[in-house]
Amino acid sequence: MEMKLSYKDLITLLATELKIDEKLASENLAAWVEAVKKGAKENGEYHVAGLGTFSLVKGEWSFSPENELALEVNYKYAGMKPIEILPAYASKIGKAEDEKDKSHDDKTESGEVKTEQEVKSPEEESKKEKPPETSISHKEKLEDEDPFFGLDSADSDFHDPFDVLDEFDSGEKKSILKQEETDDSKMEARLDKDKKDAVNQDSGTGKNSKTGINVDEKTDKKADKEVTKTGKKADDVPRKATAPEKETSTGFTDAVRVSGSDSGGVKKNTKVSDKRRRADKSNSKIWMLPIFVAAIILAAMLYFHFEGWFLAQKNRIEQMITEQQTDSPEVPLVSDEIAEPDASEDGIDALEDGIDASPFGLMGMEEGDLLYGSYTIVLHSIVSENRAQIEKNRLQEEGFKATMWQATLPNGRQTWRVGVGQFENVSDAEEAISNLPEPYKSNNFIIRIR
Amino acid sequence: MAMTQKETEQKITALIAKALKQHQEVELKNLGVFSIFHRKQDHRQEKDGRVLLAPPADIITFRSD
Repeated sequence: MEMKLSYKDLITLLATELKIDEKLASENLAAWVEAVKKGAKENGEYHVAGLGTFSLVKGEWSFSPENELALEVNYKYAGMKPIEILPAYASKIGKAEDEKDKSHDDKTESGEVKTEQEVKSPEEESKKEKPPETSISHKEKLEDEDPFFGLDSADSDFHDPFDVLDEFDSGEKKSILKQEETDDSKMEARLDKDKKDAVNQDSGTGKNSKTGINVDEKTDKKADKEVTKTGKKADDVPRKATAPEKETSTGFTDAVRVSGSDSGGVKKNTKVSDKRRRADKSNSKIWMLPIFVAAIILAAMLYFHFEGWFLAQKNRIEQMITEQQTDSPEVPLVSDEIAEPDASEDGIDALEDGIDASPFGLMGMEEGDLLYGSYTIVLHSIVSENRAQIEKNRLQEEGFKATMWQATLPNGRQTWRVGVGQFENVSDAEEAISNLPEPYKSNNFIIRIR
Repeated sequence: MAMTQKETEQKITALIAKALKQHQEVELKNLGVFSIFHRKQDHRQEKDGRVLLAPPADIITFRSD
């Protein structure tokens, strides 16, 4: 189709339409043009029914087409309206942010919160580096920079569960050291006492001078026994430290006390570790969310995949059935059954009553050929021919005048389009869209049949 | 004669409208040229910050001689 209708072509067409010769047609066209020019010059504008209004303002010609013509020319994009991509500035989010900023400012003014983000002069910054201020500001800075800051600090509620072992070990070591010290001091005290006794005995009685050595030996043996005993006890401490026992030994009592205090620490730390476990659980819940979403998407993909597969299978079965019916001579054809009443006059009347004889409209049976130049409402654009055929059959079952044809997209891809109704103009098609059920009502486009 | 003139005017109008519906350029001697301008999809920002996506459109334009 030629994309330009020249003046000469227009004269030829007019002559054909009016069944007059071209010369007369040319004169008529020239007269019409003059009438338009004259009318616009006299009144400022001239309206031509079915075309639009010509205006002449300060020697400048302009033309505004009639709404119906403009709509038909713009049939491809009929019904499309501007879409809001981003909302206005004064939104709720903006207000919330403003309020947040305001509250932040109030806090800084009242002195409750002081951060290093405040803009200060270099002198003030140098002052800020003094120890007491930096100790606070450094902590705040770390809090700002390191998201995990404070987890290992003493002030924090969170503790490493392995710290319990360290604390326990340190407590145990302390108790052992303390015990060893007390044993040594005890030994020294006893030795001093024995020496003093021996001196007193030596100085007091000669009988005791002999026994003095024995006494020393005894004391040494006792001391050795004590040492071995305490040594054993000291060796036993690590094993008995967790199980408190009634012992008179100072080392043991200390160890038991320490271990008792440590067990309290363990309890405290187990509470902390429980808190941490809870926190870990909540974190695991957060991580579960994307997995859950991914599972839903996967399920949806599988559903749509199998839906298409089932539709294809259904169509194949239907085709096989129809082939079998056509192959077998015993089974009467459905078309023959319909053809019989067509032969009679009553049948024709019945069909005429049941079906609208007009080729235009939304509902009714599909006519033999498409009326080129008319409009239709496209509801489906599908790559698979089988699926398009199924959708067409379904629409026909619902009573729509459904048509199907192959179209080539601008990117070269081939699709099967399923349209409903045939309309003389776009206005009728748009009116018919309002009668369509959802989701077709909001998801369609009008196209000219070419 | 008046009836014939009206019929002629209607025919001329119908022929021009039909050509425009088929997105053809129509030339009228001593008057101007009708053509179809395709406006592409575009987005614009309003003063209040809203961003609107304007759909594409085929518009009839007239250029006088």
